[in-house]
Amino acid sequence: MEIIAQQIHLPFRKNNWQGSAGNWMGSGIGSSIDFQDHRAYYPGDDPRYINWQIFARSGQYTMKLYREEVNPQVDLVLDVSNSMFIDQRKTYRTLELFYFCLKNALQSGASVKVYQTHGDGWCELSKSLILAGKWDVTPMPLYPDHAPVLTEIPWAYGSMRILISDLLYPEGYDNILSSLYSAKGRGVIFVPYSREEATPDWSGNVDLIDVESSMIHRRQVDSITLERYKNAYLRHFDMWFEQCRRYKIQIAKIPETGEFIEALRHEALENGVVEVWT
Amino acid sequence: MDLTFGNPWGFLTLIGIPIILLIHCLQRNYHEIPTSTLFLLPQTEPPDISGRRVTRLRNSLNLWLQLLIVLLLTWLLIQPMWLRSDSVLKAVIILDNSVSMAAFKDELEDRLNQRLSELKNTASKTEWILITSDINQGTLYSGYDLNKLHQSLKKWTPSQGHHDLLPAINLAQNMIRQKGHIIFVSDHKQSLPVNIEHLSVGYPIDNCGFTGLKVDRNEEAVKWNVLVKNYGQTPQKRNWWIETKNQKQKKNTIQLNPGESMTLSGFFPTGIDQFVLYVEPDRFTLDDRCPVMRPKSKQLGIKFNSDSPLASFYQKVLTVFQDINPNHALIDSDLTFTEFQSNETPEFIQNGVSFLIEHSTNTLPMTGTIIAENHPLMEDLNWQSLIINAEPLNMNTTKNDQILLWQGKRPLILLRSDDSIQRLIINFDLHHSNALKTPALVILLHRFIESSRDKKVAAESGNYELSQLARIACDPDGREIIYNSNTVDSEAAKETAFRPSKQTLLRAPAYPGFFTVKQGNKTLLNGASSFADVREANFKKAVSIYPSAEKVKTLTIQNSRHETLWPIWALLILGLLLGNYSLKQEQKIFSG
Repeated sequence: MEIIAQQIHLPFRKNNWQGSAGNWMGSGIGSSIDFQDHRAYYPGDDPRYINWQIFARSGQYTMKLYREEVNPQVDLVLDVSNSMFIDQRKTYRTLELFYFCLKNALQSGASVKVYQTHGDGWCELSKSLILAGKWDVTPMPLYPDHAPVLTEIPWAYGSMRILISDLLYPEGYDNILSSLYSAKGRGVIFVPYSREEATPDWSGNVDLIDVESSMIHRRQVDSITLERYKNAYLRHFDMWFEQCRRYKIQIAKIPETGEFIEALRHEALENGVVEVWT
Repeated sequence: MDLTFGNPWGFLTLIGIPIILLIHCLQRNYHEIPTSTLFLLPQTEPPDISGRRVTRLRNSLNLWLQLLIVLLLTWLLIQPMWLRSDSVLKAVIILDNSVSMAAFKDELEDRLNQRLSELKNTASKTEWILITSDINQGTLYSGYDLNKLHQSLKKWTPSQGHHDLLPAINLAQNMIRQKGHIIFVSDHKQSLPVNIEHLSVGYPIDNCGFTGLKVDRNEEAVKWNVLVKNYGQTPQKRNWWIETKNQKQKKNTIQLNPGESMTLSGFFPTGIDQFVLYVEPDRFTLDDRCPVMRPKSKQLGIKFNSDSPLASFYQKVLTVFQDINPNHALIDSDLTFTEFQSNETPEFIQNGVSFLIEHSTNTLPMTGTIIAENHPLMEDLNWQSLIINAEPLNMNTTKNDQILLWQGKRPLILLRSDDSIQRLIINFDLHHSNALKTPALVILLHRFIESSRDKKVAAESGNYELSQLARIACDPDGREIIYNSNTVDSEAAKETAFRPSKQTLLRAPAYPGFFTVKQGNKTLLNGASSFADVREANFKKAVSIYPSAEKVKTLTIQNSRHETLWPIWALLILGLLLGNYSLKQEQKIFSG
């Protein structure tokens, strides 16, 4: 995972961040070597940044302004609904994404807060426990079949808000997306998915067990029903992507199959959800 | 191009289609599948399947694959063949011409038609040749039209008694030249060569009928004797009666145990020359009627000299023979009995017998081996006991002489003949021998007289068996011979005319009836033909044999082009099976 993180990183470049001094371009004026602008001197300014050459020519105190470099703040939210762990491959891919985001954020010097959410419940996770591999899904409270309610999460102002979720909820995208967008946050969504969800081969008599509610739904699936399902699946994610564009939130579906780095390089790289180190 | 199937049983594979459809209609077990996207499925009511084992047919790729596999498998198993357009089958049908075939003719026609219809489909074109086991009868039908063959078959009437089948079989084998097919049709099991198909139609029937007729004549009356036999397995009680031209006598009843024979006899009524005996009819009708004719031979007039030293011998011998008029005063005689001296030449002006008269005093028997020549007159006659007390006498023979009996170098009996005259010459003195006590001499004379009677052109009447040969003497230079015959059941007469020859051979009708032979207005023969073949009337061994379908199949294969794409179909079936299997496996994996 660390090797991958050396090749690909979270999309820190595309924004001006706020936070403690660090390696990433901040939104204010800082002490980096990158020249930004000139302005008139005001009492209290650091005299080290007075442009003495201009003063020699004009007799006016003029300040040289340099770009600020900060360490961004990252809020990482993992959806731990049952659908995220419906099969082994999706479970692996979810955990790979989760650890990739955490490691990458930490490597980048970001201030990271980790949360898990399930239905209308959420809780903050200990990074040390996660990194120590002692993390486990914390039991969540009521209404597990609801879409995650992210409004309660204490988002850091201007932070990068990463959500890892399969987004398999019939509704609630407004709630999720507005939370990621609020307080100058920058939202990034990783959507792990499995082939069986996209193109299932159900045929004939099936007892479909809802992994969230454990309810059994008896159905006779024929080719027409299956075709309708596939269309509904495509429409569902079209709508999510459309809404994400509206909220300027970057989103990418990550397939459960293949090598992790290959899975990231496709849609995630194209959509700017991850960036390549240069 | 006609399509045939090498293995029609292969169609049973089609049973797989309803079975597959039924299986696909059966309610399947519900597979549990965990899912996170239930909300994306169209919202419908869950099916009500409680207690139902059968549901509507579900369309699926598996279903179509399996149906296709069954159809391809059926196609392979039925072994489709296409008859070659240039294939020709030559089929020769030999009908057993024995009269016993008449009992089952209707059934035989049906079975034979059925068989021929089967054979017709074994080649694009079939040449039919219909013959009987009587090779003299010629071909009944030859051609490609099965309907015309059926018509010829209907017209055919079996007409022979027990006879040799081999000539007809050889003829048929020559016709096909090892490339065609021969069917032998009979009502009994026959030993046939292996390449000949045997079709037999028959079964034991309780036949009861006339088996022979004998008419005895004496000076007072003519007595007929008819033998009736029960050939069946059960006792038979039958009525029998006599019908003359104008009268039907009352019925009498006879009862016969299985295998029992009974003789019916009676005297010819005065003024009646012919009548028909009837026994209650059964399935085999040929022996249920017996036409009887009052026999009448040609009268022979034999003239001899009453002063002859042999006159008493003549009188004694000739009175034994029937229908002879020995008379020394005859003007127009048929034969003359004369004598000649050893130094004379026997007269040769009329048919007859010449006897040698010797006045030798030698009483010593003649020496030398007695040898009889091979001649119909001498057949089976024993002359070894003949002792002649005479000197060996050489006789001047001519080219017209045929020596019948020798002793040493002396001809004892010779036959001198030319185109019109035939004379038997006894070249030893009967009184100087024991010939008068030798049966051979009397028999020889009888044979000679009878042969002369046969050659006499005169009217005669007699009783014949069906199809029996009758030798008719007629004037070879006279008018044509008219042969007129009719069955006892029909007034319709059949008339045939043909050229006369010196001695014409005719056959009595092949069915019970009366017949007449005339030359111009002159009647030569009045006859009655009756059935008397006990072998043909016995149906204990009649049996039905229908050839197997194997031969039809073999012929079809010989004349067909086989399916050449079968390896492709086989591979396709294999591929479809694998496809179906992998599809199933995928569904199983997905279903968990």
